[in-house]
Amino acid sequence: MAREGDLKLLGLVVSPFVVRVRMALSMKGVSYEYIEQDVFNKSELLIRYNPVHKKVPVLIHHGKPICESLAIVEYVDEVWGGGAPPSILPADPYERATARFWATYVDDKLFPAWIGVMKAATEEEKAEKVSQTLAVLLHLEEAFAKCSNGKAFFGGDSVGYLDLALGCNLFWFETLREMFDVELIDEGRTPLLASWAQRFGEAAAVKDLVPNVDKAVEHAKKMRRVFVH
Amino acid sequence: MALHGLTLPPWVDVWAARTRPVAEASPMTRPAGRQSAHFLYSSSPATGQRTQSPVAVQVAEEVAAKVDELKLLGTWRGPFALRVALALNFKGLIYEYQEEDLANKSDLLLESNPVNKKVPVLIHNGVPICESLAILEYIDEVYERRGPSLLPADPYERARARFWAAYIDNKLVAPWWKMFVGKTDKDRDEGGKQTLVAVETLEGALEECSKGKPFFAGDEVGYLDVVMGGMVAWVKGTEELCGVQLLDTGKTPRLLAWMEQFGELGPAKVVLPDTARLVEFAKTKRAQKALI
Repeated sequence: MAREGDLKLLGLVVSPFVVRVRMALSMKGVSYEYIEQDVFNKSELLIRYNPVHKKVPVLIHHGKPICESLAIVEYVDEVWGGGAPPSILPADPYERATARFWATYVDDKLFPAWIGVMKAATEEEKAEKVSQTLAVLLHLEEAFAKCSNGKAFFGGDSVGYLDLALGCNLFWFETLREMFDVELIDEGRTPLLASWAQRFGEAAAVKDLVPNVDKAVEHAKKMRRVFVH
Repeated sequence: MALHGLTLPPWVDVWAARTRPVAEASPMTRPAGRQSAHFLYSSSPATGQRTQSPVAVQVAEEVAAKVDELKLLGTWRGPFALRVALALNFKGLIYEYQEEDLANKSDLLLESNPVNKKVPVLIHNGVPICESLAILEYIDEVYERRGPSLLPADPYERARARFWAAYIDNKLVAPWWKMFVGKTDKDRDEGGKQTLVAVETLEGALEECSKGKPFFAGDEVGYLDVVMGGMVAWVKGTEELCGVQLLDTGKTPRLLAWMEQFGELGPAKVVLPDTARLVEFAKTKRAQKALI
């Protein structure tokens, strides 16, 4: 078990990638020092520990930085693996490959689509991005059917890698609903994802890590002021 | 003796034969052949004469059923497909290769990767695995005891390797494409600038990861060498294709040395496309404004 001094996480409360890492650490029952970053005014600490991208999350373990949220999750799973804490990645190589495929899909296809909704300059652009997001979610609905095998989560009976990869984005879907009245995961189109989202939100490991929608709305407004012209 | 995890009775001799010769020369298949079958014989202890005994035939069938089948769907030049072929060759794995025409994708490809419809796809005993980095990790895990390990053992080093692989994909390969086929001059310029930043950063990554040894993984080739390996011919062809000199002895001496040493290795020689052929092909496709 790491003592607080050994482990630090540079993060942003509303970043889904940071939330993803916090969920992984929570699943392992690991304690760490959390240091909130201002991404509009980057700290020396952030620039020092992630000079290549200057982005959060950055996990600092024994003074060494680990960057890229999915790489951090795998690191956490490996370092605090074996014994009592649950495994994040499945044991079987084919299931691992499938989980990694879909996690990459979430980051490469889902994230740009929903961020596009948030940053859209025109109604037309927004509609297009919503459409893209829905198309991606349809694929994820199929993925859920295959991966879960009738169980509660992508990872089976309990939350796993792919649950974290997708689940960390859910609070932003609520935020977008609040801001633009768009329903991205709904019972009609993606019933499996809708019921999964409910269960995920209630899962012990992830429960208290999801930020208030108000905070996300505030951040989105700030992003739009900076990026949307 | 043991064969594919089966223990055979001592009187059974095993003779492995290549059953199908290579139809056309392809850089992706191992030179000797595409598939192997095992013929089992029993030797008479008295005369040493070999006959194909019924029991041996039955055992042969069992063995054939347990033979591990690997099939790679790819293109001879795609950086993502090449990295998988490199991994398979460095691990000494036998596989069947199917060249895909991206303008006319095979049913097998479309069925195996219905989500992205892209190469590479590795089909292992009929089951497809997609996404090149996921495939590399899969190969490393399934064939843990075959050939060198791709990923290092230490979790921190593994995380670092995964970090740089993501960097190569997002900051080198993607901008390279923009530099090459971007629609406007501005797009191509931007792509060029981003690619130059990426190679300089990767020069630093190589220094940090290799710790003075020849490869990203150290003394031997590993995950990052294979990931970067898929871009070698493209990097070499950049000056002719885009008028941009990516590597030079002043700014990126280590990457230059790495490319040379990597390219000299047997498995790399089998897989890496000829730069001139690649340049010719890419020019033609660009002129046709066709899919590369």
